[in-house]
Amino acid sequence: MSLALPAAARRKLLPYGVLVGTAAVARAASALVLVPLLGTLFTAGPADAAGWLGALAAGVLVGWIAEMRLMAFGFDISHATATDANSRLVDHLLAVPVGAFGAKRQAEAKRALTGPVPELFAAAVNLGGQTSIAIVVPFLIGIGLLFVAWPLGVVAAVAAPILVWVLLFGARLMRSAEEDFASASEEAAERTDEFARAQMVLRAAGRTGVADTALGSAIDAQRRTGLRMSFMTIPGTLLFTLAMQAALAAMIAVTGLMFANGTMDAARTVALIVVVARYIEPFKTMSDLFPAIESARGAWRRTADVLALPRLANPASDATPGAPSVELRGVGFAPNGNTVLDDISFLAEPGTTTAIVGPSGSGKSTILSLIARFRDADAGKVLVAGRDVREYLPATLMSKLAIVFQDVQLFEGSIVENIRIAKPDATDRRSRLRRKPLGWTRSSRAWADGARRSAKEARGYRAAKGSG
Amino acid sequence: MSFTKFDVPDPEPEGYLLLGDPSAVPAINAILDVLPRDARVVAILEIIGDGDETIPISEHPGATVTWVAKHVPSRLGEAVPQRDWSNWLAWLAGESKTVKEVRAILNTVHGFPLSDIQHRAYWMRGKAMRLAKERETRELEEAVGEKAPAPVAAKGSAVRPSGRWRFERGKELLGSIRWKLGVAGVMQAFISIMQLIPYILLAEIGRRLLGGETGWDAFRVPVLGALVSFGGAALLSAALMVWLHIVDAEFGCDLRRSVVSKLARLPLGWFSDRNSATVRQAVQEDAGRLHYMVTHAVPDSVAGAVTPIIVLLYLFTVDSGLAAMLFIPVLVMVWLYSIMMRDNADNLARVADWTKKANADASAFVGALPVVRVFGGDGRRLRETLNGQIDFLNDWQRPMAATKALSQLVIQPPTFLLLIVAVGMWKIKYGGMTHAELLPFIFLGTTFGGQLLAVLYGLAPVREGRQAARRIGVLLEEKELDRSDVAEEAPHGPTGLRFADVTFGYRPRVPVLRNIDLDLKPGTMTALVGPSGAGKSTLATLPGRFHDVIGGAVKLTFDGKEVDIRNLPPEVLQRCVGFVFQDVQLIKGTVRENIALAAPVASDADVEVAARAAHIHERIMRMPRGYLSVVGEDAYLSGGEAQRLSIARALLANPPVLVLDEATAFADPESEHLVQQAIAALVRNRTVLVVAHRLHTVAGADCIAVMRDGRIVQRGRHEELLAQGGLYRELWQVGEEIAA
Repeated sequence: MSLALPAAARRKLLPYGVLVGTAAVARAASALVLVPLLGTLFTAGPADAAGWLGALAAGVLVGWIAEMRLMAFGFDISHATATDANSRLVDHLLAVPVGAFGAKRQAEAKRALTGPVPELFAAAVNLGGQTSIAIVVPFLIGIGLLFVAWPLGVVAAVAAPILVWVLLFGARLMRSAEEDFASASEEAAERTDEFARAQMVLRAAGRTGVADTALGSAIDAQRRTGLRMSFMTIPGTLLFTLAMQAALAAMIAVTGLMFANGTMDAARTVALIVVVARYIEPFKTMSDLFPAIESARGAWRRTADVLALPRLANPASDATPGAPSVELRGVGFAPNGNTVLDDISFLAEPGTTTAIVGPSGSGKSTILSLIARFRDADAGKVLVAGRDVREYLPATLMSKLAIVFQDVQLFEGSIVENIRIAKPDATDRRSRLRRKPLGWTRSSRAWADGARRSAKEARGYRAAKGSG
Repeated sequence: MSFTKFDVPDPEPEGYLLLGDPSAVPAINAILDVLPRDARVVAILEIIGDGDETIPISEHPGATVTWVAKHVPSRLGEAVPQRDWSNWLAWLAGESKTVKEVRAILNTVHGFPLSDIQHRAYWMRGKAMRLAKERETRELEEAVGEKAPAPVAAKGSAVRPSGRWRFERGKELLGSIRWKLGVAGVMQAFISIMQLIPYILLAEIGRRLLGGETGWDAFRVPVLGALVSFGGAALLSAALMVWLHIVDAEFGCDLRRSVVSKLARLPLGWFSDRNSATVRQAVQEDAGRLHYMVTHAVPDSVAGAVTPIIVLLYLFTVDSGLAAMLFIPVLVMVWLYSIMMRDNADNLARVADWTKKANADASAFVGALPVVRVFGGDGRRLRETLNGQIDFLNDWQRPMAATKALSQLVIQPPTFLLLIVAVGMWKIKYGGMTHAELLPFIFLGTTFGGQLLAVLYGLAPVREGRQAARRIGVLLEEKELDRSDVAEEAPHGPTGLRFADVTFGYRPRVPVLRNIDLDLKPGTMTALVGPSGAGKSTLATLPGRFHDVIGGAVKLTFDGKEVDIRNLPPEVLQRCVGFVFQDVQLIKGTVRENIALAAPVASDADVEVAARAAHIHERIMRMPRGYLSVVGEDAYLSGGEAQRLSIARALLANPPVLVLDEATAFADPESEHLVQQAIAALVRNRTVLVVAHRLHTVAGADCIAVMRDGRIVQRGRHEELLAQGGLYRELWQVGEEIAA
């Protein structure tokens, strides 16, 4: 897991661990104290057991205090972690070679940005503490039992890891089926997007509906893999339940044997049976919490995947730009083995206009994207303002370039915000000045609210596209 | 004090019924300002003080405002007229007692579902006009409500108008599997009882031990019984899960198929109003949310209900006093929970808002990454949104952390254990309880608190599932394109296209096209020209029945006959009318599949002929795998290349009527020449309707129709129109200037 916890969270980990330990010890102690408590109660009577009752009360109270503090810590840790993860994601996405950022990667990035937040929150807050406690308690009870009735303790100590292993085994069984289901769902989702996007064309071609279409088969695949995943879940769950019951039966059998050969009196036997039931119960909790843990794990992994995307290496220190020229020297670019650019060299002097022409597929747009460092060239050098683009910090390079894209990207904000993106501090007057040459202001004033209107609605105006 | 935002719902209601008094006027004005201009609004306001009827109300073209005379008790409810209020949204605010009465009237007399009446009490008669706290208002409403007179139906209506509300459709969605869910519930009840039996038997074993019994015979029965019960419960539970998952897989698949089939019958306007994310939600995500409802909701809630009930019943028979004590932790938990849930409705709405905002900002950021990078964006807006979302969640829930933890702790086994042992010891000493009687409590009484917790955790997915069911239900009720029963002859031979007095608008009262008369003779080319927003592209979609016209008809002419396209089966219409759009919609598949989209049985030779005619064959041969290259993976097509691909597609489909929408408007200079040649091949011997921006490309058309503001203002050949002057000559001269 390449995700490390931020410093703010790491500081809290130690007290968090201490609280988990305290809470677990409190719970285990509350269970073990039942042996002397019930033993005395059933043989001597309530008055003599009163002291042990006090011990039980103390154990429960300590557990309460520890777990209440634990919840608060959980919030703090997950708040720090989520904020940090988001920040790192955005930073990373800003450094990823944009040219290699296809539609699929975009979807992954978007999911990583919007998915984990509620998940991480719930995970650390609710599950983290409960799960940790549930795992530790049976071990502690087993250790305690070694002092009270050692055969029982041995069985308990052996059973605990076996049960955990069975639980994880069931999870592993499910995981591969789950991955199949996830990719089938993804394919179905992509086909659904395509269905919506290309509805006109599909309709015109008579290829809508579910029979004989890609979407139809994707939905069928989803159903098939979903069924398989469900079938894979069940043996794991069943196995775990039966294993728990077997452990319970074994431990009760051992207790029974100890009673039968006179090692234990009736009262203590009963008390031990009670403790055995308390020992099993955390495993049930673990199995109940497992799905939620798995889903949180999945969210975590999605974030880690995005963070693992290769990023452009940035230099240690910034370069100073010189005169605004653009130069390519022996530049070669061959992604995936296709040679797109081969030994390109030219110099665009400051203040001149250079046109790059050629048939489509000849590499014109690629040259532009190398200049903007959306990707790195495989051979040769790209120089902007006299320095290799790799020597600049991204912000510096970008401050030297302005690009008008063929594919116009409009943002969610208002028209003014869309223009302002180049210079967030610009005043209204400056953005109006910029808009005038494009013949914009007249048409935008035609709208009641002028430039505050949503840019998306303004798409209808061809002005933005510049033709006709 | 809490605020609720008014959002225009999606889909939009038939109309808005706003009811209130002067205290509601600011809110009503705000609502009128945000409602679409063509919405219907009926506002009825009650006069409280003299001169209230002169309070200014916001202007809205579709709104009728009525003031009702002052009266105590209020006459507002009676003032609501009798009519079909189906799918109207009711918004109601004002004096608390009035609100309660009117809400009841709207529900019982006019048929509004209670959940679709948005209501708020702003003040109470008898107290000074102020915003009261939710809780106090409710209490007062309860108190006042008992004395409120029963709502009176308007005279002359014995039966309440039924009216249909879209929003109720979700409940019917699960109808087909309802009986199966019922069976599952019964099975789960049985399983829950089987899961309890072993513990009862353990208590019995303990009782016998304490009673001094020894030897295997004394314990054989309870031990074996416990083992059988345990194993049996586990196996039955697994079987139930398997069955429910099978049921869900089938149900989910059928549901998705129904939704997809439904979508294919909706007018295309539905798709352009929404983005693909909404469609994805309908087809994939909502169906997924229903998955939990089907597979887990029923067993979990039955288990959550049955187990504690059985346990309590049993324990009551052992010792009612101690059993009664077991309620204490539960009541404490409920009380703590209600404290936490107090202002939740608003916060839940804000959670949804934050999620929506985060999704939108993330999409915009990721989608526009190049631009963000180039212009030095640092993702500030996205960062702010994401941090805002986390901070909101934290600020909301962190203060409740201790309460939340306590509410869970109080029903955990250790708590119950302590309670049972303490009270039990007391009862043994003073209450005459025996040792053996304590055992059932220790074995059974400690765990049912956990079951309650599981039910609570299960509530959120159930709520999501119900919302998803609602959304899907609404979707399945959307208005489809009309199907006609008339069996008309399919067009054959040279076919023409005729627009007969066509009027059309996306919204019923806002026409975009008016009285269009256009006759395209077979084999001719007609061009639509005009400024942006004239309606050219809209008109071009009508021959494909992407929307149905409001007035007039679109007809295909052949062999002296005319047939309305609404009377043709879709497959026939699609064979007759082909489209080449500006927005080339490529599907993820091979080049061959993309070309042969409308003609899957075409031979490779035919596909190549079409590709050659469209001047795209050489480009395809340059791709790594030729015709088998996958679009988007092996091959990236430039704009002009994609155009030529879609032209090849149309050539292969070979329809008699063709609609071209701005196909040559692409600024790809090298491609434009080839695209022109491809189109020349395409339009030969076909009836063609071309939407064009660049006039010089269509100057040779047989007929040019000049449009402005949804009407045809000039028509004729190029030379005639130039000579006439007017809009065409203006556009032509502008075109010349740009070209120069």
